[in-house]
Amino acid sequence: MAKIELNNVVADFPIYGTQPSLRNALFGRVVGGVVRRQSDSSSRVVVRALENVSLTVNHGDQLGIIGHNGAGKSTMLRVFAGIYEPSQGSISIEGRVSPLFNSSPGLSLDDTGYENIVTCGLLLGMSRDEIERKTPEIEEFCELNDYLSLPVRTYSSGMLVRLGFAIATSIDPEILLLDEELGTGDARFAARAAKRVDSLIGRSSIMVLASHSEDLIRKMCNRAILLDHGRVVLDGPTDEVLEIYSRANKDEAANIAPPPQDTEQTELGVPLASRVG
Amino acid sequence: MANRSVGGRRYQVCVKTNGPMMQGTLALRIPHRGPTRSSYRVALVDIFAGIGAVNIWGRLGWRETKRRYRRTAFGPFWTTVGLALFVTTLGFVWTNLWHRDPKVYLPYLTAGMVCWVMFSTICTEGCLSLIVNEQLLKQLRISYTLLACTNVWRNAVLFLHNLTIFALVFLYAGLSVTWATLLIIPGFALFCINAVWISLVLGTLCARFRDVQQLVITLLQISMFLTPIFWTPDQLTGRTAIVAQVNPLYHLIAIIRDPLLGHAPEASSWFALVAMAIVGWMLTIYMLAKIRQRIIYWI
Repeated sequence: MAKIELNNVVADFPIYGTQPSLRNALFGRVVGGVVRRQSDSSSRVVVRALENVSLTVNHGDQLGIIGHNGAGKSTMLRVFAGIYEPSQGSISIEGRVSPLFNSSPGLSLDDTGYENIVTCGLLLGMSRDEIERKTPEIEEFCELNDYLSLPVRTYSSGMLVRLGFAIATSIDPEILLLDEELGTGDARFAARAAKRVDSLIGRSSIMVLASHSEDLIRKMCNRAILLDHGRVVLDGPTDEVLEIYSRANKDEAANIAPPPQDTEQTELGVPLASRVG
Repeated sequence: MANRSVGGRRYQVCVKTNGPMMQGTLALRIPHRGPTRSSYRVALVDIFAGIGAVNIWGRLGWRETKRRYRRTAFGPFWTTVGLALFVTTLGFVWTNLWHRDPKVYLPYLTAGMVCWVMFSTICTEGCLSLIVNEQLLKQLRISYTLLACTNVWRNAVLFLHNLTIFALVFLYAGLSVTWATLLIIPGFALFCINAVWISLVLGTLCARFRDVQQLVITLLQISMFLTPIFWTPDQLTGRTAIVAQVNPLYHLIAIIRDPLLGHAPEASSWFALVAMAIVGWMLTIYMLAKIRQRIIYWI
């Protein structure tokens, strides 16, 4: 049974670029107590990405994460994957995690599609035999045909997503984590992806999708949370959360003229040019 | 908030590994205030899961080597060509300058340089091993030791490339293979055991302090001259002789160079490498236990 439990999770990002690194540390060491008190956490630049998040994701949940840019969606996914360990609070993750964020893990642009299937598969915890057995299934799902023998460099961003999604879902993950990248697939692919996730949920358990695309979330999720400044503001069935979210957005847009343009917002089927590579 | 006061000192970390990734079942109670039993456990899992994933670091390192061949005729052999030029030129100048027998000096210099190149590349690339893998590290919870192993393995493959120069010199000098040559196997293994922790520590330090790589490069340049590579330890007499013996880099090189030249490494070299491995790995475990949780935020 897969399960994710977050208890009062805080994620702080220390920002180091703003100060001289080694010199600062050495200097602090030499001068000792006096400076250290000032240079302690109080003056260090920290970005708080998640603030006291408590959340339980259960078996069967298809969770959509929505929120503005910088609301903490990607951080949340990475906490789910066990990548970012919280600065405070506790997490507990049960189950085999398969992530699909910017690209597949270990993807090398110089290698061919087939080579990448092996590398990514190994990194995701498959054995060579398992990968060999799954390869036809991956081929079939991503529909890249001969492209699989070409270096991944030649793929369009949509094709990369197709390959990545096929690999990420082939390992029978118990927890499938998807970032908004999925939005770069075309409409046909989105429908196929939704179907595949459905069948996965039947077999395994949890899917989490962070996206700006309300359509995609509506299609693939049965539960949604709204993040704002690292806090969970809303948590409930997809339709309700999306309705409140879009109403709030409309109100905001009405108050500000001209309406702000969300640059990252993308319609389904329109590739995000800036995301290539 | 009540939770925090309870969780302040009590840790309950349980990681059941599933392959190379440190996932499966994961429960973490934070904050860390220093190494605890559970954080030591996480550190050990990182190390053993990383080293154990032979198929993964084997493939990653191999792919990276193969990529260097892509669209070039000689690929990594260009390093070998450069090294060959360096060794022949230097060998020619110094055998004349110091009136040494080229058939003795040239194999010594070549074997030493080939080992040194491997060691120094492991160090400089080890510094970057976490930083350049940012993409991967932010997609999977993965063992840092795995990346250090990849680095060492990749450079071991390059070492084999470079060994072709030594093979030529070996033939030229008319050296012969002896039983002591076999000692290269345990010697090389000991070298790698040390190289992995060195790479891991440097990679971690560099993730936090980006100056470290420049520092390492500078120090390596100086140590190349302080380490008996161009000169032999017996050229130092009296008090200065100790310079070679206390230099750990000398032993790291000698443990591979001596078997290559057909004689057994000194007992002090074996001792030094075993001691380095024990102390080094203990430090590494302590370091990981203390800061593993924070590394990902530095990258």
